[in-house]
Order: sequence, then structure tokens, then C-alpha cells
Amino acid sequence: METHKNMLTEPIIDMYNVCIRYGKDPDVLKDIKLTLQKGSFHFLTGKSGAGKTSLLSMMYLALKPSAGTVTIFGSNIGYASRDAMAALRRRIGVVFQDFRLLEHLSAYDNVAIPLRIRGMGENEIKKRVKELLSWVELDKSMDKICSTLSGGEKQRVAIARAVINRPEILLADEPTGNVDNDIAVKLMKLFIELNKLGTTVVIATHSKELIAEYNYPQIHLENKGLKIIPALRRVQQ
Amino acid sequence: MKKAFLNRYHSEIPLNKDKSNLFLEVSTAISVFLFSIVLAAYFMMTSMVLSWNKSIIDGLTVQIMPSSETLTADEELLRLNKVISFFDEKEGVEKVRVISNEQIKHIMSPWLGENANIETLPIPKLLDVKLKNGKTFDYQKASTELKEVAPYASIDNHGIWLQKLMKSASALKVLSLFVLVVVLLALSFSLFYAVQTSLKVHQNIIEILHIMGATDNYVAKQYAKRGLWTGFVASIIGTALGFGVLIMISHLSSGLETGLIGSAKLSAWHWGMIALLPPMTAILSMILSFLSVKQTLGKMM
Repeated sequence: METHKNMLTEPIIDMYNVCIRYGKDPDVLKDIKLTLQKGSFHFLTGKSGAGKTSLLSMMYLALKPSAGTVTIFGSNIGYASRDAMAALRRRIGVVFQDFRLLEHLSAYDNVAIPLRIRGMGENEIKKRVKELLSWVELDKSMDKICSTLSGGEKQRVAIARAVINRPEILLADEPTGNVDNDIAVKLMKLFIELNKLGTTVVIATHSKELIAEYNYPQIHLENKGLKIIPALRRVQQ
Repeated sequence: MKKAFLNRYHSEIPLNKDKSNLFLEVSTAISVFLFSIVLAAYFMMTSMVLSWNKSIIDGLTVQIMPSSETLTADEELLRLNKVISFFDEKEGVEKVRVISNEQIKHIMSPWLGENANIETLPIPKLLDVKLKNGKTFDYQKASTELKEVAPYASIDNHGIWLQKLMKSASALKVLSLFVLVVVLLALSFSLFYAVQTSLKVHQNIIEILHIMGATDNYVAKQYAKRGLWTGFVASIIGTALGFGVLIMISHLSSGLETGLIGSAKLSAWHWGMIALLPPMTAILSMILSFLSVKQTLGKMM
């Protein structure tokens, strides 16, 4: 069985000399070099406009680099076919800052999407979705249409949708921004548990408290570049 | 169980609420209605041409008019043999037979009665000419040549004008096929346009589905299901309207007992073909929707 320590020597995301620019605008990020090992946990930090969302977009394969090479799960995304990209995306869970839920669907149906995309049977989907929604304390709201849910509830649905597939990479943009402290602690515990099971986690946040509390290494974006700020101490369990 | 069944056909893209649905349904219903009418017209013309063709293939009739002068039996025979020789030597003629007085009497009996003495009446002599292939036989040329050899004889012009009519009917058949293709193209174009509009409206949802790992096929299948359903429902309406109009035309034309129009009838097989339009349209609509989505998404990130 693969141990967590062994996983940390296996690169899962590798970026080499990556630049991101939109149209003829100047570079948002320039000459980025970043290697994330399987099973690692990082916070992604930086001021607003530093390029956090762009970097995350590239990690969840919604954006191709303007220059440089991005390798995810060993595949160079510059050469991957559309179907290969879709297969890679199914191994990644994403929590968006603005949730990006399908507002016309129920919480249940939103969380079920990644499983339906995988072609899982409805009985298995029902079991897994109910269990997870119950865990994020949304069991009573699972049939509610998302447009009627509160911000905190939407955020939990978004997180449940991102983790339902037990992704190998979890990318989250401000995942605890709209929930109260108790729920935030519970969600962070979920991320940590997933990380222990081998999921590579990257959480974009502005919250100094969150960074101080959990003290994982930071990918810090500044002046179109990045630097890794190592963790000072490990999380005490 | 019921929920599981429904979920199997669940669509993340709210296509049932698309504004383009009404446009698609109306344009499909109109296209199928037009298609059914033109298809029926095509079938009717095919029936007519077949029926006319059959009557031409059978052969032709030649009339030898009685002379205004009194002729001897030998002279009468000479006139007759001249015409028989003409057709015997003519290419494409299989057999020439003189229609007997008994047969002429039988033919004329509705007008002259059973006991008429036709030998005393100025009734033309008739020849029954069997052709090897009525389709290729040049009636016009034969008629002109016959006039030179025996001006008192004439070919029954039934075949000549029927051949002209057949040429016009064949042209109409080609025209109706062209109209069918145009209707099909118009339907395909409106379907493509509706799909493009819908893809733009639901771009955000499709993007989210892609991020979660959905393939283009996964998205296209949802459109294909919408295409199948919309195509089926709209084409049932279009076909029902078409059936209504065709039944009405059929009812109105039933009083016309003319030989020409009488043959322009739809057989059970034709009605069956028209009834197949809804499933055919549904399948076409499904395939076009699927391919249209695949082609458009293929250009996206």
C-alpha cells in the first residue's frame, strides 16, 4: 500500500516556464515553475489580482498556458486530446469562489453530477450523495433548488460536489469564506482527511487565520511570479 | 424506482425551458407537413406514370378510315395490307393483328346495340399493334411516316399525348424530389440554428460540466435526447396535418372517375411511408443535434 510519505515524491502537477496572458494584455503570471507532489497540501496566497484564479484555472484545465509546459498526472496538457482532457478533469475536484452551481437543479442533483458524468448507477449515486450531504449537514435541504439556498448552504453543496468523486487533486477557491466557524472547521477537517487518503489539495485563501491555524506550505503569488513559503509546523492531530 | 428511472434521463442542461424549443417545434412541424404533402404528390405521380406507362407498353391501335369512294374488296384488302406491311417492317413492332368485325361489334355495342350490322356502317378498320418496348417506340415518327405511306390510316394518338404527359410528370417528379431536399435542408438548418442558440444560452452550464470532466459526447447526448423528443412530437403534429389534407384531397377527388387522375391514388404502402415520417424525423433530429453540438464544442477549449 502506498504511504503518504511515498506519495510526496511523486509529482502530480508540474509547471515549467509557464506564462499566462489574456489577449494582448500584459502577462498575469510569468515564468512560473511549480511542482506539486502527490498527497501534498498547499495554501495559495497573494493579493487580489495576483493571478490565483488564473493559476487555479490552469490546474483544473480550463485554461491553457500562453507559454511554457503544464504536466498533470504525467500528461502534457498542450498535447492532450479533448477526451483525454475530460478524463484528466474527472480526477480533479474544484470548489469555486462563486460556487458555480447549476441553480436550476436541486442540491442532490448538483452533487450527483460528477458521478453521473462517470456513468455510475443511480442506486450507488443516491447512497453516496445522501451520505455526503448528510455529512455537510444538508440532508434536509437536498431536494431544494440551489437558487433557494443560502450562501453557506451553496458553498457546502459546491464542496460536496467537488469531493464526491474522491478526486486526486482538490482545488478550492476561498472554500470557507461564506460559512460559520464550526462548519469551516468541519470542512477543513474534510480536506485534511482527503489529503491523508492521498488527495493533493490546493486552497486559495486570503484568510490569515486559516493559514496560521493549519500552517501548510504556501504558494505565494507576487509580482507575476511565485514563491513557496514552507510550513513552520505540522498540523497537530 | 420511479425516481431512479427519471434520473436516468435527467439532463443537467435545462433544454426543456429553451426559448428556441418553440421555434424548433414549429419549424419541424411545418417542414414535416410540407414534406408529407410533397412526398404524397411524388407517390401519386409515380403511380400515374406507372399506370400510363403500362398502357403505352401494351401497344397501340391503328385506325384505317373507310374511303369516301366505293372500293372493291381487293382494293380494301390492298389498303389494309399496305398498313400491315408498314408496321411489320417497322422496328420495335412485335405483332400486327387485324381486329375482327366481331370484336369491333363488341366494342361498339354500348353505342350501337348488340344487333347492329356494322358491315353496312362506315366504321374504320382497326389494327392492334403489339410493341416490343413501348417506352422506346417513337410514336410521333411512326405517325408521320404512316401518313406518307397510307394517309387514310392514323395511329391512335393516346400514346403520343400520354408520352408527352409522362415527360411532364417525370419533370414534376424531379421537381418534387428537389422540393423534398429543400425542405430537408431547411429543417436541418433550423435545427442547427436552434442548437447554436441554445449552446450560447447554456455556455456557462456546459463550461461547468466540462470542468467536472464531461466529454463532448456527454453534452451532445443531452441535445440528442431533446432533438429526438422535439422531432417526434413536432413531426407527429406535421404528419397529422398532412394526413388531414391528403384525406381531404382524396375525398374531393374520389368523384373524378377519369382514367388519368383516377390512377393518382396513394396505396397502403404509400400511406405507410408517410406514417413513418415522425420516427424518421425524430432520428434525423437526434443525429443532427448530436453532430451539431459535437462540431461546435470541438472548437472550444
